[in-house]
Amino acid sequence: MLSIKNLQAEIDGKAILKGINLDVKPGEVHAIMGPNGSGKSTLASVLAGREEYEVTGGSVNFNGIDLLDLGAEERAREGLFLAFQYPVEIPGVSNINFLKTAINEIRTHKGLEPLSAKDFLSMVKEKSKLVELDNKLANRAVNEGFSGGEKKRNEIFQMAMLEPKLAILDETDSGLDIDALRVVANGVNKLKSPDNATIVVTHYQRLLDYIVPDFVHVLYNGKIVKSGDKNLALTLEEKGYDWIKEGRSENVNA
Amino acid sequence: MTQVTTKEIGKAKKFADMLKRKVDLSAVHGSLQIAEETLQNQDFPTTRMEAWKYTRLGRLTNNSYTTCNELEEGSAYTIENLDAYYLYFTNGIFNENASSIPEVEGITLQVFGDVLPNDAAHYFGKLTPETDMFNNLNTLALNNGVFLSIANNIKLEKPIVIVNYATEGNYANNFRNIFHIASGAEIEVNFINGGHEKSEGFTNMVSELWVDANAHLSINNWQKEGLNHHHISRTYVEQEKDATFSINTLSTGGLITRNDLVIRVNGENATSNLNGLYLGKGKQLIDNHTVVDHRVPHCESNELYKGIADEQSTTVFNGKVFVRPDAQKINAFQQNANIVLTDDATVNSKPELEIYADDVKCSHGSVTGQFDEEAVFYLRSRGLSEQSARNLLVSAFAADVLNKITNESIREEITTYITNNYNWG
Repeated sequence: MLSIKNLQAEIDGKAILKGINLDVKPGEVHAIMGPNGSGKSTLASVLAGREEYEVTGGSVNFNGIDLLDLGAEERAREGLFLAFQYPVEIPGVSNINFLKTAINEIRTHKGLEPLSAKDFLSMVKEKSKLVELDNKLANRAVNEGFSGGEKKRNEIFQMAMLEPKLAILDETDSGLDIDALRVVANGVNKLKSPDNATIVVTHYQRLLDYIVPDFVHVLYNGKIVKSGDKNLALTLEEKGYDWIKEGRSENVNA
Repeated sequence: MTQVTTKEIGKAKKFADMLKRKVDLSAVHGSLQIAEETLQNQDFPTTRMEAWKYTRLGRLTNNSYTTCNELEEGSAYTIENLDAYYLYFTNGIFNENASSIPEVEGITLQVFGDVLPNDAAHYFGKLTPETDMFNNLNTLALNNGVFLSIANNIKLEKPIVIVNYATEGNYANNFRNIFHIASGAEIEVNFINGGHEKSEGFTNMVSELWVDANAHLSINNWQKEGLNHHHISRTYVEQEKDATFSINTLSTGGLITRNDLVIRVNGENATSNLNGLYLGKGKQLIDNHTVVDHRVPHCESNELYKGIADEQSTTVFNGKVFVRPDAQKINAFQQNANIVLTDDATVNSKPELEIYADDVKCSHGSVTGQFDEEAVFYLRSRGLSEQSARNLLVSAFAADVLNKITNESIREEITTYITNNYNWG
C-alpha cells in the first residue's frame, strides 16, 4: 500500500529526514516511535503534504501513485488521512458542513454522486457514536472551544467519516487522560479492516497497549534505526531511548 | 495640469452648480440658503483632514456628472421570497408604476418628487451639520427623497425596500431620507443601492432618522453598485428612551464608498446595534466612519464591523464611541476585524473610545490579519480544494455579520450574492 524509499526532507535548509525506508501493507498497524526531535512528526507532515517541508530525495509510492507529486487535498482524496497532533480551531466553520464539502469533493473526484443529506446525516450519527463524540460537538465550529480530548476525538470522528485507506495518527495520545485515550483507541480499532492500514506516531508506549501494532520502528536522527514487533515498544518503555542512541552506529553499519 | 493648491475655493460649489436641483425647497428656504452660503467656501475633503486621512476623493471629484431627467429601465429589483413595499428609483427618478406605497392607517410615506412635502419640511436639515460639505451638496442638488412618518404604536408588518438604481453613465443622485418613527412604532427599512456595472455615477445619500421612545427602527443598507460608481452616505440618528435602532451596512460595490453613521442616544435604556461588512476588490475604496454618542445613562450599543481587502482595494474603519459625563452604566461594545488577502491591499482601522463617565462597561478591539494558513492546510488535508478551503474560511468570517440580519430573505439574498460574486481562492 505504502512504500517509502530513502525519503529525505528538510525545513529551512535543515535536514530532518535522512533516508527513511518503510513498507506498509493493507491490514497492518505500524508504530513509529522515537525521542523528541527525531523526525516523527516531520515524517507524518511530509506524507500528508505539508508544504513547509522540502523533499530533497527518495520516493513515496501509495497504491501505485507517486504520493509526493500530489497536493494535500489530492492525497486525502486518494485515501490518506492525517490525525493532527494539534488540531486547528476554525471559528465559524461547522464541523458537519466542512465534512460534507470534503466528502462530496472526494466523491466527485472518484466519479461518484454527492451524498444525499439524509445519508450524510445518518453517517454522522453512526460515526459520532463510534468515537463517543457528542452530537452537539459534531455540529459546532471545527474544534472551537473543544477540550484536548474532544479535539482528538473529533480527529478520529473525521477519520471515520472519510474512511481512509491509510491513517497516520500523529501523537494522538499527547495531552489525553487515560479515559480519553481508551475512547480514541477504541475508535481506531473499530475502524481497522483488512483493507486499510494505520501508522501510529507516538513518543510513549502507552497508546500501543490499546492500539496493538504489528510492527514497531524506532526513528532517530532522521532514520529508522531499529524495527521489531510490539515487544520493541515494551523494551523502549523499560529502557528509554538512550540505548538506541548509543547503539546507533552499530545498527547503521549492520 | 494645475498645481495643487491648499484650497481650491469654490470647487464644491461649482460641482453643485453642475447639477440641477429637482426638488423645490422653498418650504425650507433658510436651510437652502445656509447650505448655499456655506458651500461657497467649502472644498471637497482632502487627506489632510483627519476624518479623510485614508480616503482620496480625486476619482470622484475629477469626474463630471449630470442630473437625469427621464425614467430609464433598470430598477425593478426584487428580493426572492420577500413580501415588501418596494419603492423604485432610477438615477433618483421615482418609478411610480413599479412601486407600491403602504396604505396603512398611521403611516405616511411620501416621495419628494418636485416639491418637498409639507410634513417633511419640519424635519429637513435638522440633523445635518453644514460643516459636512456633502450635506450642503445634497441640499443644493437634491434629486429626490423619501419622507416616512409612523404614528404612535403603529407596527408595519411588511418591510419597506427602497431601491436606488444607477444606470450606465455619469448621473448624480442626491437623495434624502427623512424618517420619523413615533413612540412605540416599529418598522424595517431596507436600502438597496444597485446599478449598472458601467455606471460611473455618484450617489450622495443623506438620511435623517428620528427613533422616538420605545420605537424600533431596523435598517439594512446594501451598497452593491457597479465597480466604477461613487457612493457617499451620511446617516444621522436621534434615539430616545427605550428605543432600539439597528443598522447593518453591507458594502460590496462601488469604486469609492464612504459611509458616515452618527447615532445620538438621548434617552435611557436605548439599544443601538450597528454592524457592517465590507468586501473590497479591484481598486475599490470602502470607508466606514461611525459615531455612537452616549449622552445619557443605562444604554447599550453593539458594534461589529468586518472587512475583507482583496486585490488592490483599500478599506477604512473608524469607529468612535463617546460616553458623556453622567452617562453611567453604559455597555458599549465595538469590534472591528479585517482580513487582508494580498500584498497590494490596504486595511486601516481606528477604533476610538472617549469615556467621561466612571461606571461603564466598554470594550473595543481591532484585529487585522491574513489567512490562517494552518486552517487552510487542515481543510485541504481533509480533501477540500485550496479554493474551497479559502472560500469556506472567508464565508465563515463574513457570516458573523450576515447573521445579524434578522430578515431571512434579505440575509439569503446577500449571502447568495456574495457566494456567486466573490472568489477568494
